[in-house]
This record gives sequence, C-alpha cells and structure tokens, in this order.
Amino acid sequence: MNTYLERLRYYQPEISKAFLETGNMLFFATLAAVVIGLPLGTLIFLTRKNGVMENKFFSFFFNGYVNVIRSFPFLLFVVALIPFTRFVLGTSFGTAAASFPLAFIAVAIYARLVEQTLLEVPDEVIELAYSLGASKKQLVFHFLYGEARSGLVLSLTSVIISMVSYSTIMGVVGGGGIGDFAIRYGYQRYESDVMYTMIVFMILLVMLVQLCGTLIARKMDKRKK
Amino acid sequence: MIAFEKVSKKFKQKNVEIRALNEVTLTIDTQEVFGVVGESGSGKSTFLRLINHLESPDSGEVFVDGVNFSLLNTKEQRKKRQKMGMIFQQFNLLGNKTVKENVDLPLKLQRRNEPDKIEQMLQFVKMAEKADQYPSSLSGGEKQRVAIARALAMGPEILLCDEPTSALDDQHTYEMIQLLAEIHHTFAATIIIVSHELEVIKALCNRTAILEKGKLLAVTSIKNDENFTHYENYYERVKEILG
Repeated sequence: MNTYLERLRYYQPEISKAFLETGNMLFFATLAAVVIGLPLGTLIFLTRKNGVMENKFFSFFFNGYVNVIRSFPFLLFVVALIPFTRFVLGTSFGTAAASFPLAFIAVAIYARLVEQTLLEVPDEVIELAYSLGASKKQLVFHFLYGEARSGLVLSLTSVIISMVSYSTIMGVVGGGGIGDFAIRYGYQRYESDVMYTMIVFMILLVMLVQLCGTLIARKMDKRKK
Repeated sequence: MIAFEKVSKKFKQKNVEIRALNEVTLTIDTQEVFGVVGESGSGKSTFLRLINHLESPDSGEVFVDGVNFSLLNTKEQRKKRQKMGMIFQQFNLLGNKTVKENVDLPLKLQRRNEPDKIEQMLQFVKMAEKADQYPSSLSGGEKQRVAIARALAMGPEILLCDEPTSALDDQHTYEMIQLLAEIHHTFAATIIIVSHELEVIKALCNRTAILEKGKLLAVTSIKNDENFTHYENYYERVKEILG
C-alpha cells in the first residue's frame, strides 16, 4: 500500500498534467459541439423532408457530413486527418492537434442528437410560432430551443462523456491526457495499479459530468409537475 | 370583413387525396361572432387556418379586410398574422415558460416591452395571481385562459378559436363561454369559433357555417340562447341545473 501511494505521489505532477490535457481536449471538443454542432443539428432538423425549411440538397449535405464522420473508425480518422490538421494548425502533434479531430467527432455526434431532440418538440409548438407570426430565427430561439433545452443539455452531456472515451487514444498524435498516461505507465511499463487508478479517475470524471448534466437538465425542465 | 371565394384545399395522406374544403364561398362581417360546425374531418380546422394563412388555398381566394394573403410576401404575411389571435384545442402553451412569459411571447416577438399590458390581460382572464407559475401546475381551464390572454396581448382585430372548449370539462366550458362573450363585448373583435359542440356555438355566435366533408351546406342565423343564464359559481350552477 505504501509503495502504491509513494508511486502515485511520484507520478502526481504527470497525473496533473494528464488531467489538464484531457480537460483541454474536452473543452475544445465541447466548444465545437456547441458552436458548430448545435446550429448544424438545427439545420438538419429544419431542412428535413416536410421541415420548416425543407431543402433536399442541404439536408443531404448536412446528413452526409454527420454520417461519414460518425461511421469513420476513430483511430483511422485521426490519422487520415493529419495532413489537414497540419494545414490548419501548422502541426499535427500535441494537445491542440489532438483536439482537432475530436472536435469533428463532437460536432457530428451532437448535431445528430440535437436533431433527435428537436424532433421530440410537439408540432403544436411550431404551429404556435407560425400563428404568432414568428420568423424562422425566432422559431428556433424562442420556441424550439426553449422547449427542448433540457434535452439539449442531456445530449451535450452524452457528447462530453463520449469525448472522454475518444480522448484516451489521443496518445497516437501526442495529445496526452489521462488515457495516454494510463497506457504508457500502466500497460507499457506493467504498472497496472497506476492504470487502474487512472481508470477509476475516469469513471469518477464521467459520473461527475453525468451528475452535473442531469441536475442542470432537471432544473431547466418545467414541462412536468 | 373576411371573404372566402370558391376556396378549395386538398391534402395528401399516404398518397390518398383528401378534399378538406371544396369551393367554399362565404363572408364574415367585422365584429361578428361566427361559428363553424361540422363533424370531425369536415374541414373546420382547415377553414380557420386558411384565414391566418397557416394553410394556403389550392384554388379560390381568401380576403381579410380586402387583402389577399397569397399576394403578400412572407414578412407582410407575418405582420398580418400578428394582428390575429389564435387559440387552440390543446392550448399550445410553452411548458418551459411561466404564465407571464407565455402571455409576453407575442409582444417579445415584436420587441415590445409592455409589462402593464401583460398584467392587464392576466387580470382580464383572472390569472394574475398565477403569473409566475408554469403551465404544468394549471388546470385545463386555467391553461386556456392563459392562452386567451396571450392571444389578446396583441390587441387582435380577429380572434380565431379552434375547438376552444373541447379539452375542457363542463364547468370550464361554461366559464370559457362567459369569457369569450366578455371578450367580444370588451374588445369588439371579430371572433370565429370552430367547434363540434353545438351549445358553445349557440351560446356565442350570431351565425354559423355548417360543413360536411369539405362542403359548405349552409350558413344559418342563430337564435341566441336566451336560457343562457349567468351563475355566480359552480355550486350555484349545479344547484340550478340539478335542483
């Protein structure tokens, strides 16, 4: 037990660094999900067949993006994206470069979940918006997002949790993070106790994210008694 | 004045064409309380939705105060729609907004900040004390009153009511009839009520259109129900009716 604690203490700076890297990757991926994934999902909802802004071309294009990115094996996606990452960021190595493919995935997953959440909004809400003479922008911001807000938060929570999992393989492009640390020390150096400790940390992190998401969503949802 | 001239509307449902309205021609006078009755599937709701152009006619024309909606651009249509209040069978309140916020909604869409107006409308429908509650905690009758306050907030010239009492119990229906009569008296709006409940139409309307399978069978004048007595409360009414 003492040696275990000593080892943890020894690795503590590295562990802190790994947490910071994971936090960085999650932050950028989540930011991309909100800033790009939310509008993209909304557009998929609006341009669908019989949708408010039905448009076959855009619907095909947006859905295509989401389907292609989501069906790409993730590790291969990271590798395949390297030239593009290098083109945009000037490097294909490090935490920032690792956040880049993660952001693509986060956008695609959240866009799909946003579309599904908006499909749950009753037709009466859209009918009301029309009858009050709302513009399309007002329909989205005052009606759809307002009524679907708790679902949107829960979906984002799922995306963040998926990103925790996806981020673990970012060691391949030097992204670091908790997963990378666990593999390097636990798997490659046979220090299993360190690896299991990291896994427990990750489970706790996921539980914390889910708890926050559920609490916020519940607080926001006023539709039920 | 609202005028329908040979208005037809078709819907496609699973490749089967349904004639919702078939060459309907009629006029509704300004400040009239006009009823539309018919069985379900007779085209009543389509008739109402053609007035504020939530549906557009396949053929024929609908004029509201001489203006043909179909000839307006989207922005003008929205502006015109904002002058018409609409109330629905299922109330269509936003569950994540308080009573007050629901009533404020049409004003907010026009970037108007008029808290006094909201207060005044809530007073009128006797819901002021529940202004900060959410719709989930209200009864059906209360929800419909909030929906009415919302429809009135814009000071509509025309109030469209789509089965306003169908989801309500007997007592709330009675209260709704009283409230609609009061609205007509106070705001002098043209009110169009679509309903399959003949007593509601009889208690409120001057004339009614009778629709069957999309066809206008007749427009008849209604002899207003003289027996429609005002009771102070539910107990008084039960005592009178059952006693």
